[in-house]
Amino acid sequence: MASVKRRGEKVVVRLDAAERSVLASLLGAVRALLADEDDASGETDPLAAFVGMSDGPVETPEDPILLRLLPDAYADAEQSAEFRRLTDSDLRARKTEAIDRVLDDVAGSERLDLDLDEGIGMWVQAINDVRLVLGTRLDVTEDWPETLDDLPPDDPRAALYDFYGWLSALQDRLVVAAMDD
Amino acid sequence: MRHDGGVAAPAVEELEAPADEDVVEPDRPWITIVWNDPINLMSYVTYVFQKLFGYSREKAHKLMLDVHEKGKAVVSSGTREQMEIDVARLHAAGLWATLQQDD
Repeated sequence: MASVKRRGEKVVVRLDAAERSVLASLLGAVRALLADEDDASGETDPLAAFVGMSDGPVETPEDPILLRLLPDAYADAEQSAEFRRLTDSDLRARKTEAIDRVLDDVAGSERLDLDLDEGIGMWVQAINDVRLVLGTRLDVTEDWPETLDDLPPDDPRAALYDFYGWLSALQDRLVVAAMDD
Repeated sequence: MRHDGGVAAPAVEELEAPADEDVVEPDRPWITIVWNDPINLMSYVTYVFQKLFGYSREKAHKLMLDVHEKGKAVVSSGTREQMEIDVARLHAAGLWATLQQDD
């Protein structure tokens, strides 16, 4: 199991090769979800793209998983759509940046020294996005460990629950280590 | 929004559906609301409130408990533009947040 220890102004994380490989695969899957596939037309206004705005409407995701990653900002659909038009590409970029940082880190050594600000911040954000994807896919409740106990061992969801539980424990330890003062 | 100006007598359906329902009053502040969800960890939500808003551990913890127990909490208030920035940062952190004008 991963080791997470506070060392002064750093949090030292050790993940074995198998853990790093699983984490990289899960992050890669979320990264692919966030990649905007609607931009292949080549008709995007380069100035709008440069400032991070869409020159046309950005559709509200129909997929509940993507909608959980990129939620509505207003109760009102019209205001939400306008907010989405202005911010969707920036939100995707911020999430992808954190994922890329962690992918970079886990491609390196077993021991990672994360600084308390950016390092930990990127890690807990990226891990949380994986948890949002898995949790929405599993439709988890707060009593999910009991649901897992009731699943037959050959249920395909059992493996997803295992990843979800592992990431939840890792994220909690990172947060607790970061807030320890 | 309507601008009747009070010249003509209002039509019947306008009496039935008050015109001032969607009039924006600029002096009412805007608020950012975080909603409870079963995925975000209590420790993480507290961490995000401290980090994004600079709240003390105690204040962040209390807001987190409000979200958890009451289903939602107002985590910041100010201008609409400020609240849009807060909501965008909360969405980046993976929390479920919306903004609205206070009532």
